[in-house]
Amino acid sequence: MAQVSFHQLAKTYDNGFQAIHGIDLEINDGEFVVIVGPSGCGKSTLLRMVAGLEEITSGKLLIDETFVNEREPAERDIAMVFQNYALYPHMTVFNNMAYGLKNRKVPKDKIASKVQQAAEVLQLTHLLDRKPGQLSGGQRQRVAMGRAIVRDPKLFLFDEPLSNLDAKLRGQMRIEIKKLQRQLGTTALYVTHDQIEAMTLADRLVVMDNGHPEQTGTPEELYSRPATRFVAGFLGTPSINFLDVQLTATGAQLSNGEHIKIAGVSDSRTITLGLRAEDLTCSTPAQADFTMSVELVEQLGSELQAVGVLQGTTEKLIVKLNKSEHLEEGMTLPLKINRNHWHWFDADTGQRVDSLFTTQNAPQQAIAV
Amino acid sequence: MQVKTVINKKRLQALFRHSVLISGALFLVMPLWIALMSSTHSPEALFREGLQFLPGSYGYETYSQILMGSDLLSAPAWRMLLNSLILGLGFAIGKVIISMIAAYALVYFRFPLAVPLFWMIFMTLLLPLEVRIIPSYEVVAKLNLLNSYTGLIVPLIASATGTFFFRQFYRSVPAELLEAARIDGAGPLRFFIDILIPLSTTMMAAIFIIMFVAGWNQYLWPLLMTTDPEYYSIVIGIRQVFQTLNEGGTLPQFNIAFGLTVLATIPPVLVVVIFQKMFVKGLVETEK
Repeated sequence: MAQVSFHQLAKTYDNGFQAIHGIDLEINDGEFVVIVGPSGCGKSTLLRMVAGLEEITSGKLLIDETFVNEREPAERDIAMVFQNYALYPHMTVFNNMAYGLKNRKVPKDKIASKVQQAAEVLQLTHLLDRKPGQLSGGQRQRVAMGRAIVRDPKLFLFDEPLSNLDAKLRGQMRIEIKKLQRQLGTTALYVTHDQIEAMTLADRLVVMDNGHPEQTGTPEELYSRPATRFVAGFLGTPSINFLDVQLTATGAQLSNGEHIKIAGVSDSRTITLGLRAEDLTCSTPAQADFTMSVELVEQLGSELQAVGVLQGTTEKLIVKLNKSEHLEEGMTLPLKINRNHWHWFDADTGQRVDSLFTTQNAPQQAIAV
Repeated sequence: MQVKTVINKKRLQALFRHSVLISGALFLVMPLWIALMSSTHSPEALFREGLQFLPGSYGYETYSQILMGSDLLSAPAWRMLLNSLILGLGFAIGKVIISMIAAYALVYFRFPLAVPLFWMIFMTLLLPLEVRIIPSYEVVAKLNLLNSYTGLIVPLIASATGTFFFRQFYRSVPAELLEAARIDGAGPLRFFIDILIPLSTTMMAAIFIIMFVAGWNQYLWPLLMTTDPEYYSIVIGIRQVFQTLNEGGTLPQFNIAFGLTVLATIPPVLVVVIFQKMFVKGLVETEK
């Protein structure tokens, strides 16, 4: 159990490519922090820098107030679970889990009892004599976890540990990992590109893009108040709808000429409006903010999902609707915006803009005319 | 009617296939068979009638002469077989060890000029032993290693082929294994011994077979290196018997030469048969 601090952690490769651009982060004792981002955003590199597998170019990495930049992976008291598990194929499950302890000269009887204990927690007791080749994907995953927990490390590092499993197993293991981490109280840093995994596992979430941290916060914060257009687009399924609008004195003009009425607009620029699929509702043509041409209706069981475009344009829209709504492909659908949950982003920088309207504390209190 | 023609056609095809296979097998086995059969005939019979295709009654005499020693052979066959065995084993084991270590250094350590060094090693593949035989002899002679097992084996141990195979194999071992081992506190030596060596057993077996057979069949090098019959290998022994043929005077002892040839083929065949499974596994798939 430990606190981990990043101080302007950065990584530049020998060829000049800067993979990580100075990240600051404080991970509290026992916290589960997930780093999420698209592939190539540098999240795995960051994790490997913490593990000591990748050199830190500049900045400071502290584990429990100790400066560990220069330490070998084994001396950092961390344990890592790899994407492909990296189990030693010629060793039994027992030896796979015991290997790290053996190298640390832990007495044999203690190793045996520790491995037994870990095996019980992970329900691996009956598999201890098998080799990794004889195990299923989920079991291998558990062995990899076991190898991490037998050592009682200060910090768990997870590098996309679930991406090699099928969807159902992934869901199960996700819950098990979270439960196990809670139970052990070990600080954990988890890297994934899967935003559902990220949202469900994290106490705190770091969204990364191009080696920059875009936003850090609880999953709820990031979902309801994304700081950038990127974060808004990355979190949430289906992904958020973006519409380019032109602000006018009376509201916002959509690209198809439709007009969203908003009071007290204090600006007149082009701006991006982000609307989540669940924040749009069916309306009457008279009261609607804009109209959608429905191209496809998807039945999700609990609800309906309409896929289409903003009428008269090619701007894509996805809307989640009550399953009692009557929808047909090809129809036009008048939609109303839930004005408590709209997100405005600068069209150029992608930064969140909250001060568009004269009414203070917009957008929450922005009122339709 | 239709069914019958189909069956006939199938039979014909099978017949054709088998005849190809059988003739191929005969082609390969025939020389060995002739050697084996001819070794059981007396030298007179061989001289009069030529190569034999059927067993004769002189087998016991031939093989007891070979194994117990005769004037024709400067050393008894068991001694030469032993020498060949030492040469083959030393050659194979030495090559496997050296090339594993060399490949380990090339793949896992980033030292300056690693890539050019690898290509230099690789280039020596193009140069057979015969090219460097005079300097090699010079070195061994200066070290006073003529007529010794060390002199026979050590100069041949460096192996570009082996290094190349192991390098390719190590490169296919997932990098995460090394990383996991580093996190588990294994240093370079521990990783090599605990992880890499157990993973390469099939590869080691494959290279061992190839190298053992190559070492067993070495001719030119032992011929140059050894003047003392104590160190003659079986291949040299075979040549010796034929030498008397050129010198003339006595009746050429073809049966002895054939007998030696038969004996000389047995150990490599045994090695291949025993290690065959691992050999194929090593070349085709690996435990990773």
